[in-house]
Amino acid sequence: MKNENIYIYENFKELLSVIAYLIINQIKPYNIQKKEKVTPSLFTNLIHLDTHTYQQFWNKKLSSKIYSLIKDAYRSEDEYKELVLYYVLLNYQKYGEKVIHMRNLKCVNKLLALSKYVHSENHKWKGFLRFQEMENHFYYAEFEPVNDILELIAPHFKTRFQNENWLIKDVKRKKYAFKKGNHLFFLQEEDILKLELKQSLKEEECEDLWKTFFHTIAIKERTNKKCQQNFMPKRYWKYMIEMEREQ
Amino acid sequence: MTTKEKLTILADSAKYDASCSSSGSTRVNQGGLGSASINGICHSFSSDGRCISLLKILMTNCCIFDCKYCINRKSNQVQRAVFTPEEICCLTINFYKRNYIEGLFLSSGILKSPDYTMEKMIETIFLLRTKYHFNGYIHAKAIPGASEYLLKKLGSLVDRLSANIELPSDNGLKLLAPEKNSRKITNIMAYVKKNQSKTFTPAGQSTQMIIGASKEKDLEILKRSENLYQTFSLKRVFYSAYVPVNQDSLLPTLKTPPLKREHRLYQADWLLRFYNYKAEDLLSEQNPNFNVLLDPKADWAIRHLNEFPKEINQVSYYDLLKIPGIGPTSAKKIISSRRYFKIEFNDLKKMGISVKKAKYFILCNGKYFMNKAFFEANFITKNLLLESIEKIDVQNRQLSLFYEE
Ligand code: SF4
Repeated sequence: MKNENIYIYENFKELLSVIAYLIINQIKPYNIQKKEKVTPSLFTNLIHLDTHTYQQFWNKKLSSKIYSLIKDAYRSEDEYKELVLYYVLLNYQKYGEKVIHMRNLKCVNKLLALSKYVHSENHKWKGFLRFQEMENHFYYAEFEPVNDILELIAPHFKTRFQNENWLIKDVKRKKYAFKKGNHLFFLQEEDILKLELKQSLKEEECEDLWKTFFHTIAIKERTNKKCQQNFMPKRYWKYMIEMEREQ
Repeated sequence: MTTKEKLTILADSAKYDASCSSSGSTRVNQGGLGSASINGICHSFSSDGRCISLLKILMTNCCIFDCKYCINRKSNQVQRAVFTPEEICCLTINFYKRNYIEGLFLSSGILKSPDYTMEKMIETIFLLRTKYHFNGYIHAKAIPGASEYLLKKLGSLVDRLSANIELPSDNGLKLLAPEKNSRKITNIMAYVKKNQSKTFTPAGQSTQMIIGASKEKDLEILKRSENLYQTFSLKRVFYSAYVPVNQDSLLPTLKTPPLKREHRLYQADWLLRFYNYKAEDLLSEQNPNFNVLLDPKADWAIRHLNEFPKEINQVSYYDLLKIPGIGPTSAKKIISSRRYFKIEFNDLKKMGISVKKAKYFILCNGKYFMNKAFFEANFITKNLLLESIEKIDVQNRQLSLFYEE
């Protein structure tokens, strides 16, 4: 049996170059995977291309619309997202911009669905994320998004909380968005020397007031927990202080 | 009284207001705290499945009026509280900074007089906007009968200013809220409509009516809404199933709030606003109430079967919207796709469009989903009923309540 080839890349840019290489050389990949995600097996070859010459390939070729769709879909954790991007770009080469309307193509539907999923999750977290007030008027939040949306969501809180300094942690991916003054930084675990944050004295009282409000505002005669859970699935509850009792 | 005790009383008495949305405003942050989001943001969902977007409170539940349906009416023996402006500001700011809320929804019982009450509300919101530099969303309820200069002042501070029509008909209002008068309510609406701009109630106005406390039929209710949308360009009419909080010979005795009815009205309201239907298309004097078993659009389609089945590769956007199960999102998908290929039944599924209901009413590239002989009212009704014993009906309404304003 012939071994299947898996093409390896390290970041988004390189992924685009790998896809360019495959398209130009008319190679249909078995799979394309991020370096840290591959599990080597006896039946696959891992190929790490030197994509240097393909770096410029998509420059000026991709419209901003298709580029942002691809970039958004890339934030998803879908197992086959790279193949979806490959097939979309392959068809984009053939049909151009109109490919995004060709919903009879499976890859196009998948691309739109992934991008939609990423955006809807981003929208939900805009509401469900919870900051805690720390000492010295510093705010801290932890969250666990399914998709890799930290870079998407951070600018929202930057405009909203202009005068506050804050840190948001993507717990699963161990990365941080740090806003200080007018600046927004994206940091990895190793960039943060030691995180010593203490809750402000007001924090507990405020959380208690919020829980009071939350439980009071519900109309008993209309209780519908299923509906509640439909709009606010359990995976969001972990960091929502008002749902503490429910877990 | 502690802030917590006041919050318990004043959130409890505000909870019957159905409006929760924080959408429609594009207020930008100019160096202060907060911003608005055009689509609105839900920050939590309470155990009744309703979206929590705003800190929804009354300034006070003291009231000089005695509206029959209201928990805060003068004649009720309930604990009363009044928030100070500072207390409201602190709560709002502290909640907002922790991302619990999108902003403030402030309503009030009537203290002393409508003008006095409005002045207090204005003082609060003014403080919030100036001293606290709060840039988030604010929805204030105008007090009927307050002077115009106060409406002007309040309207320039908030994103949305609205007045509740309370009951679907003037007679209902006369009977159950004799101290209110519908003129005073519609005057507010007219004023807001006339002056609405980027700096005056940028998110427009909405209203609410209580369903099931008075005797109106669905047709009368829907016609009233239609009229309100046309006359005052309201963003939304909210329907609030009456929760029996008081005993009164003038009130019906209900065991549970009429949620199903409320749900049908929301669906029909949807059809008025986004689907080009008129109240009289949907209901008539002979048939003045909605079918509890079928949604209004399916009900309408079955009564107009001669307009179906529609060829989805051909018919216009508005005709697509008439197909049960097809909404604006699906209709747009169909329109943009069919320029590039002929849509078959299989494609609809690929496109993420559910054909569960729609299949009875469409042709795809000339083909019906089964033998065309079955295209007949009784057969379709029976199948729709089987499929539409809706499992979780109140859910969809909440979705529409919030996401697609
Ligand atoms: S005026 Fe408002 S608060 Fe006062 S009794 Fe009537 S509905 Fe209730």
